Amino acid sequence: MGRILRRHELCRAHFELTFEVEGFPAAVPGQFLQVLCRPPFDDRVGVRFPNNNQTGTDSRSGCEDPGSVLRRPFSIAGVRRNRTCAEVDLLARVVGAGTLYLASLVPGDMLDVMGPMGRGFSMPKPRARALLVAGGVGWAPIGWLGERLSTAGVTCDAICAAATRDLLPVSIIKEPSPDGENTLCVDELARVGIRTMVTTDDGSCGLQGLATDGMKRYLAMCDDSPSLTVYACGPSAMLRAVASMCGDSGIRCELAMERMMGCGMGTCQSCVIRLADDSSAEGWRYGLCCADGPVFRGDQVVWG
Amino acid sequence: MNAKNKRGNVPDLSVQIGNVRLKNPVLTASGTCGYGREYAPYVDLSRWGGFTTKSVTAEPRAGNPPERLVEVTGGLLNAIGLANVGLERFMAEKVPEIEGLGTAVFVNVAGHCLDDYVKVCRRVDSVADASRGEGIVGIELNVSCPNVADGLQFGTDPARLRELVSAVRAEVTRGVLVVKLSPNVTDITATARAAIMGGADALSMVNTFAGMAIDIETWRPKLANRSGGVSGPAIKPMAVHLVHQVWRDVARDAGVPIIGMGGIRSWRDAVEFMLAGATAVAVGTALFADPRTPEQIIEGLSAYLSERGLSSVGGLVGGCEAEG
Repeated sequence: MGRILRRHELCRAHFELTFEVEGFPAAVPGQFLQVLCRPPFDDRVGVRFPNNNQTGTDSRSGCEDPGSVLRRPFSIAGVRRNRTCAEVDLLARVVGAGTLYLASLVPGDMLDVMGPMGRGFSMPKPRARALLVAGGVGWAPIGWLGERLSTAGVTCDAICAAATRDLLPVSIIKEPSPDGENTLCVDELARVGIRTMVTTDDGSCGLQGLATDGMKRYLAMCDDSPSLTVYACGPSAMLRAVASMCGDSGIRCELAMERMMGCGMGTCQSCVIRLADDSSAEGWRYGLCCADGPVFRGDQVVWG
Repeated sequence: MNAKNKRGNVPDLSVQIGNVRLKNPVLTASGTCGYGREYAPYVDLSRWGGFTTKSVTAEPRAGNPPERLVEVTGGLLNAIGLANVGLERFMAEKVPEIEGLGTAVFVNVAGHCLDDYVKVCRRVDSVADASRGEGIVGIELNVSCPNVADGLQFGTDPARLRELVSAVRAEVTRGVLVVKLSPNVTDITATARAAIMGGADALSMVNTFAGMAIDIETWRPKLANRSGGVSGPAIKPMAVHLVHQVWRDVARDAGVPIIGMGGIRSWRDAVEFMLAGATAVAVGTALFADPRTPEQIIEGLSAYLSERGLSSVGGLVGGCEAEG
């Protein structure tokens, strides 16, 4: 169980929830938590609301029991540890009853989380180069990964993409280059020395275009692509384009994928992804996003 | 933690299902706990009364294309398509793992024709032993999975069901034979009777209710399989009713125990199923949200019996029909 410490608005839509939890196991970027996005079911009273013991509808609007039973997977967006506790960050955007519930939590509320789960991003060799690519809420594991990679001595650049300026889930400290030049413009990454290219669909911030337009430009300028690893998280169409571009250029890439999950631990078999498999007649087999991933190498995934 | 009753005794939670004595009546339902090992990091499986594996079929099955699962109000709708490693890998890899978990295990067996059922049951029974109370103690026959096009008939037609159960019964000599009933029938007492006449030691009920969900943006069914099975709290009142109907009309007089399931997430739900006529219960969908659910139910049951001065959990079975 986590206790909410703060909620921090990142932009018009995205917010970051930070909670503290005791005995949080070791975690790496790309792993996820299974979060109960509703009041916990309580044996004594049915549904219990976080800050009080009343049942039924909470005074906070939109907080009635949404009738959902499953947890929801969220990428871990950061972990800081002290002697007894870990402070953990999650990123979310209100898209339904569950995320509305998360948005309603205030400091002191309890959050029921399981994890860390799944396999995260791998660390490249020392002296390697990395390009981080984040699309929308796919930023969640990328900022934390950047910190880890930088600390490990990996030279990183980043591309941060969103539909429009006020949907960028990051702090802009310097106007990003409209020509797609990588600069120290995003606070979270500038702090660890990572230069970022910002792209927006409408050109309201940084380069006008998609993350992959930015990536095309970056790769054209990159003189060291054999030692490069691309790490990406974002919408499925973006990941597919990233994988294809990397495949064409012989660049290693790792993608944090997402699927509807039932259990998050490999039992329910619902979050299937086609993975390349030469031993099968079709050339692929089903893997599980939760247990075999959620991070996959670009050349593992067979796009349907 | 065991609660004591008024006379200071710990209530007896053990129950008899065919030839196996379970240490308590709380099992987990097929398809919700894999082969058990997946839950080992989160819970002490040896505290469960037992669990039921996901379906095993003669050949490996990749399962249905996604989407395989969607959430519906108060539950889940799934069409996994019996994805499993197949009999050979199950015997070679999963059986040794299961043996070390310290709890009773029912292996769920599914098939597409009588011969497949017979073949899988024969092999699984060869490693089963109902007399020991842990490890593989029996087989649960999946005759009602509504996901696979030709799997439906066995469980919905009493004559074919009886034929299937008889054929399997001849092979299952070491383990307990449980038949899992489909709720998607006009008269569930007819299929219950057929299963018992075929030689079932126990009935488990109910499997998921046939259901469907449609995306109003795309106008397409949400599941790739078009339809699937509904589980979770949404189906509990229907499941309780069917358990009661079968207990009252068939199972009570036949002396055949019922393993009740359908939307159980608390000890209160478990008590309700037992009062309806179930001897044991199984937790399914609720496990996904909280793997500790079975342990909480076991503790809650014990406390409930103690408060009421009941010495054993068997005293609840069919209690809604008890005199005054």
